[in-house]
Amino acid sequence: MPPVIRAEGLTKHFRRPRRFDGPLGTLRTMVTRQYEETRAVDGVDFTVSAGELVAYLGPNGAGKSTTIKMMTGVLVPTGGLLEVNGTVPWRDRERNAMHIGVVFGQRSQLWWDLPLIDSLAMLGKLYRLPHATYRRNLDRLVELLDVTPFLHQPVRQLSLGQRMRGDLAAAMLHEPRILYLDEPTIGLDAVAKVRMRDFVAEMNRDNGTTVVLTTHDLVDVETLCDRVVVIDSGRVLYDGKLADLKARYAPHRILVAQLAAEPVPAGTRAGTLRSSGIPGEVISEENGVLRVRFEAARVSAQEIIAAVNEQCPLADLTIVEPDLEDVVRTLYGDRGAA
Amino acid sequence: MPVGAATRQDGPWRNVPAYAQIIRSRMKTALTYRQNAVFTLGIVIVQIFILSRVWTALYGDAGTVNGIPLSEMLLYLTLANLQGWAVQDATVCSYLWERIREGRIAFDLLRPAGFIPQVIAQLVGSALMMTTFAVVALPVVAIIGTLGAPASPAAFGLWLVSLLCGIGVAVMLNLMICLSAFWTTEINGTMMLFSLISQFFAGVFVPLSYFPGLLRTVAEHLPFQATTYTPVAIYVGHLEGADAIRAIGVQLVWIAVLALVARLVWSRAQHRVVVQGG
Repeated sequence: MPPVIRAEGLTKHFRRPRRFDGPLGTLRTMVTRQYEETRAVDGVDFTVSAGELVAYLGPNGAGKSTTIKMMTGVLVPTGGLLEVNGTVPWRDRERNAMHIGVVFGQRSQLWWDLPLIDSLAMLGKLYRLPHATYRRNLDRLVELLDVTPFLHQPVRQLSLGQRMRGDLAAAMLHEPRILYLDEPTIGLDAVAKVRMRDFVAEMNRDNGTTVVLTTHDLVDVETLCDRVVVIDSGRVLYDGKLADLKARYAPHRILVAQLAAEPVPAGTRAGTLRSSGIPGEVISEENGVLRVRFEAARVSAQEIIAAVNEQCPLADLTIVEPDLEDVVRTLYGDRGAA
Repeated sequence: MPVGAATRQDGPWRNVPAYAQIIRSRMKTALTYRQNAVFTLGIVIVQIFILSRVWTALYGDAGTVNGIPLSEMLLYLTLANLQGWAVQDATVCSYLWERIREGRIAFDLLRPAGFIPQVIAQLVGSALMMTTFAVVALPVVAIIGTLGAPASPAAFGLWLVSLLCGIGVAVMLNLMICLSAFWTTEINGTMMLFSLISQFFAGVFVPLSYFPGLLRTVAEHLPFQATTYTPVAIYVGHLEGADAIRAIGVQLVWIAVLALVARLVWSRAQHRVVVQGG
């Protein structure tokens, strides 16, 4: 697949007037012309292929949204190269706009005072959809997202979940090739989140829409994305498969074992296992439940089960996979608070 | 599969339906918030009342001053105030400023239509709705102020043309104020100052022909007179024939000049866009 998004050394610096504290601070702020520079995005490289579903992860203030805004053409980069669908988004903004859809979870693109259907009609005109195309897409989205009950209500009266569905319809109405989702599930309840994920997956599968997603809800990532780009302080920390990310940053699995009552008495099992040199580390033994951590890349689950079973027969067991949350904690943990 | 792109209309007029839709939506919104218009219209009617008293007192026993009879003066004041009000709507600027402050401006910037034309469409929609309100309010205005027939049938025709051009100039001036929102995080002060200055130089309180020497020269070289003074002066017969046509030409020049300035300002504003928040 050819890349639809290509970023090389992409950089965005913001300049803000330096603010002074203390007495006369405001006056000093006004009369001096000193600036502070923030490097929101500081040399980012990545490509996205057509039809991919990529998660863009990073703590607050990492530069995710700034990157998305540059890809949409809203912000002009300070430096570097950025190409979307073969055009430079900010220079050729109107052409770029034709092929992208955007959902910002924190703000709505719908017109507050107008009924939802008016917003959609407006978008149909803005994206120059022929009437038949508009009708067809509208009918499909209305059905998929179940917006009929509130289609004629002013947007300001909608609940967050309803508004979000309206925003999704608005973003997909013109059949964009790329869909940018910036924290789309923020504030939604569990049902609404699932609905949002199903919809995005379906658009990706049926329309071949390329999706770039930023989120703090790691379930979004685990259910939707194969590929993850982790960004922090404006730089790419990791770019690759979600599975590899877990293997690299959370290489351990945990065997949770319910041990048989015989022959090793409870309380001494941890010690027995430790001295026998099983290929893992016993973390705890509580109420007959034993936890053993092992490195998935070196030791297979079968080996560790066999080794434990040989010393202390197992009654029941589960193997706990690390979740993305652990990975992210490890990744972000090395740095100070954002 | 995306199929829309191939069947989409192209060409220089491709976005006209979109702008028409924006104009319609803005009119609809203005109608939703009509109480606001009623309130400001009330202020204007009071202003017409006060100005009429003041000018009647100033005229005293003199029937005609500077070649203008009192009745014509009162007609001028009534029309100028009403029209000045109709083209001075700040809601679009406030709306835009709020969008910039909240970062929702991003959506206007990522449409496949130009940002400036979108704002112009908003301003046109607002001006059209305000003009409609003004027409509806005419009976009330007639009781408090002075309404009368145009100076001649020709004056009426030229007035209509000039009124449209005046709305055009006012829209472009409002656009400048709207664009200033990209540089300042505060806009209310700017809007109040602009409103006062533009009303004064548009001849809403005092017709331009009464301005003393230097002030008059200044006023004639500013775009504000083209918004209100020109059409109203044509209506009441201050500007006639060739003078009227020349004045309309000046209006058109102002629209062109301001459009160029807007283009220039926008190319700078574009690089300044900071989208607030996450």
